[in-house]
Amino acid sequence: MSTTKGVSIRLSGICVDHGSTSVLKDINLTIGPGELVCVVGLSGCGKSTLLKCMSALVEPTAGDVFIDGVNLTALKEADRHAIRARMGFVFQYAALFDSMSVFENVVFGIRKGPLRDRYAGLSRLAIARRVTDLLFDVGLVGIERRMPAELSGGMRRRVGLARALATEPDVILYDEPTSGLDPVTAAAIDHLIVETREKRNVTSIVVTHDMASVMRIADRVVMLYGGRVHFDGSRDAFRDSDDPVVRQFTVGDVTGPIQTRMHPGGNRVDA
Amino acid sequence: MIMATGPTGIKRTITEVADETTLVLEGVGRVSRRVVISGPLSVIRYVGDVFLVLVEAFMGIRDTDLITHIRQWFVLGVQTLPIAGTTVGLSSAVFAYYTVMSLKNYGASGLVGGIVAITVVRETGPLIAGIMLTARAGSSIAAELGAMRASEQIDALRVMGLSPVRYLASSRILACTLMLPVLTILSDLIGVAAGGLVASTNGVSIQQYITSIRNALHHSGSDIFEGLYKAMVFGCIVGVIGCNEGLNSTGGAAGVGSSTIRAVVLSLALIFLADLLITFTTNGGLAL
Repeated sequence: MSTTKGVSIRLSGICVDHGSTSVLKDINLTIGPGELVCVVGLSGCGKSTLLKCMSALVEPTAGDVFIDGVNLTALKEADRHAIRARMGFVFQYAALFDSMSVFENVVFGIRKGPLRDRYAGLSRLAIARRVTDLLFDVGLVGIERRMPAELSGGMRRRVGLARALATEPDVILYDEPTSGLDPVTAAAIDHLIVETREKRNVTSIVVTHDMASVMRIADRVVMLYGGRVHFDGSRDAFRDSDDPVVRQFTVGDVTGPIQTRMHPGGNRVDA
Repeated sequence: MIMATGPTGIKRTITEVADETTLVLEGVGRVSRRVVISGPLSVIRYVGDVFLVLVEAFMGIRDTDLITHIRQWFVLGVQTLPIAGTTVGLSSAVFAYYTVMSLKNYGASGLVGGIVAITVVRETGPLIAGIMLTARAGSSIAAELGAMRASEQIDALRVMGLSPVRYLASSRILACTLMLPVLTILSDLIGVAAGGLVASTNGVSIQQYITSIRNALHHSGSDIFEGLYKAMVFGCIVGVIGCNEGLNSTGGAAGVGSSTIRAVVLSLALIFLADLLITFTTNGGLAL
């Protein structure tokens, strides 16, 4: 497996509105090559939206996303393909192609993506071996011919990760990779995330609200609250923070500055 | 203070009445602006979106492999044949029955073959086949792509650097555009044969029926080509509207349902509009 160089990501003044609701307000963030950043926050606080902004799947209302200095938001959709080809995205529910087998899902980017020329010299046998290796790396053996509908949630996420890794991306965006999984499978997925970063030096951004995961994998933690970056620091600083909002979030206390009641638009009453 | 008495008998100041009138007028203004400006603007935007999808899908035809194309021809075209052939056949039989009954009164029942053939080949064949393609393929395209969007499969394609329009829409639009003329030819044959069966049971010989068809249809084949031209346009409409609605579906499972309904209704409306325009433009326009 080759080592990638990772990419830097810079978000400058990102705002996202859904109708009259402001989901993200003036987000400024810089993530260095090879960093493993966990983005945490309450449900519905805009974590997934932020992740989708980074890959231009969601257009910000204002602000820019720079990938290695290139302004992704300023590019036309057709011109974004080359930059997106350097990204891997692990979706919350894997987003595997239903009509394709596991093998076809994993090999899809190699055969059809913008980087297919890079793999054009590989024989069918070499590609098959590569897919088997990728699946082995994510802890799956002998499921190449199975269809996504035949897989459990954890297996689907692993296949999604193998698919994301297939084209050797420089950055991987994980959207709640462990939500809804049992603790053992969640720990295995976390281990894969860390291992992938260590093996390939990919920039990794993990959106989660699973505190156990955060404490296992994060180099750095960014907490969103009220549509803004409320905390940005190391994992240890996050764990030991005296900030009442961070404390309430990490402890999981009902009482505190974070209100559990929500406006119809999704914002907390105090946000 | 000047007072006014409302319908409920409650007395209000002129200022309050003026304020309420202003609110009502503002409401009327907002609705008017939505109807007069936003309505046409959204129609223009929709037409623009559909045109862009069509252009990008056309450019993506060569990117799609032959196996995918053939699969779509089979799923969207071949599998629609039974229902298209059946409905065109049944409607042609009914049409032939009424026609032969009417012509009997004038002693001209031998002309039924030509009338049925022209009607089926130029109008009911492509139209009914188009409606059936909308019901079967247009709805299926919108629902399938809408479900893919709801389950983030469309996003997965985009983030892998692939255009969903090129990868998913090209083969489907091409399949609808090419297969509807094929369906129309086969449905025409079934329709004319069904008309012949009904005519023969009402005193018209098969020989008379065939002779009447030969005399009625233009030797250059222009009647048939007009029907096939209509079928191509109808097929393109079904494909592009189905793809556009599916790819832009929002709101999860309920959104998939809504986009499917929109795809069917809009496709049918546009098919009838296109039918009218093609009929008048290819036959010298309205005789006003």
